[in-house]
Amino acid sequence: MAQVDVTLADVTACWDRITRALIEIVDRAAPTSTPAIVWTRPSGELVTDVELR
Amino acid sequence: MWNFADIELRAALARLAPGLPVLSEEMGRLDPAKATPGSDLVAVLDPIDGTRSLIEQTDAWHCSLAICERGKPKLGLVYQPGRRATYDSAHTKTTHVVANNGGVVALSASAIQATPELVARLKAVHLQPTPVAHAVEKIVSILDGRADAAIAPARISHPFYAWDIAAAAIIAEAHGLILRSASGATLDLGDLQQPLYTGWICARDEHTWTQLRQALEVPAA
Repeated sequence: MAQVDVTLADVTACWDRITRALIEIVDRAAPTSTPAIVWTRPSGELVTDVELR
Repeated sequence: MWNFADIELRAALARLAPGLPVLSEEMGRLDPAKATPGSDLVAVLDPIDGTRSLIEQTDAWHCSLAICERGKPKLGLVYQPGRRATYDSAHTKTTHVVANNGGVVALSASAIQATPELVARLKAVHLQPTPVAHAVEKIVSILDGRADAAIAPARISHPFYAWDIAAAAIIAEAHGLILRSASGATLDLGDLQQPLYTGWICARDEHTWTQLRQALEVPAA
């Protein structure tokens, strides 16, 4: 397996760009209708049809 | 849709921070040590934190991202699309902690129902419990000024995972909030994938933290 060379300093340096990318992607993916529960994980966590689309 | 978001977020991280391993709640749990031998760094991504809140159409769901080094959160980002609110450990000057000073304590609705003794002890010291869903929402409610503190009592039936709270924990620390386990020890988030059964308390100051700690203690019979 490849050795990972990325460092905390590298990530910190591009943190603002990571932030902008995350906001843009989440805004695009945000549901416009109410999701329905389709499955409950053994941990009790709910999974919705939105997550499975 | 959220699988798509997860894939896109992973792609963005791969582009911006090549080689950074990603743990994602939506796409399965990976052992970062096995996935990337020699790596001390891992991104912990939760594209949708607070599924029940999403279903109930409240704003209390988020996307969170933490960068952890040897299991310790170093950078954290929480984005709340409903309120278009961003909480960032790297930008504490732009995320102003709003004072509430009303003695409001964020507690899950189920804990309020299940622990009437705790609620009574809080009220006895003029702290007002208010229902706030899940861990991240509790912590950002303090930053927003909707609460002064938050408690997650230890409950064997409701463990939490370090990766559920990693981003919020470093954001809390960066903003000067006090977040410790209910015993007073540092909240150990060393193993991101192990369930944690400890309770935790987060408060804006030591005085409030101590009040909550005392309220959690069961008086001797």
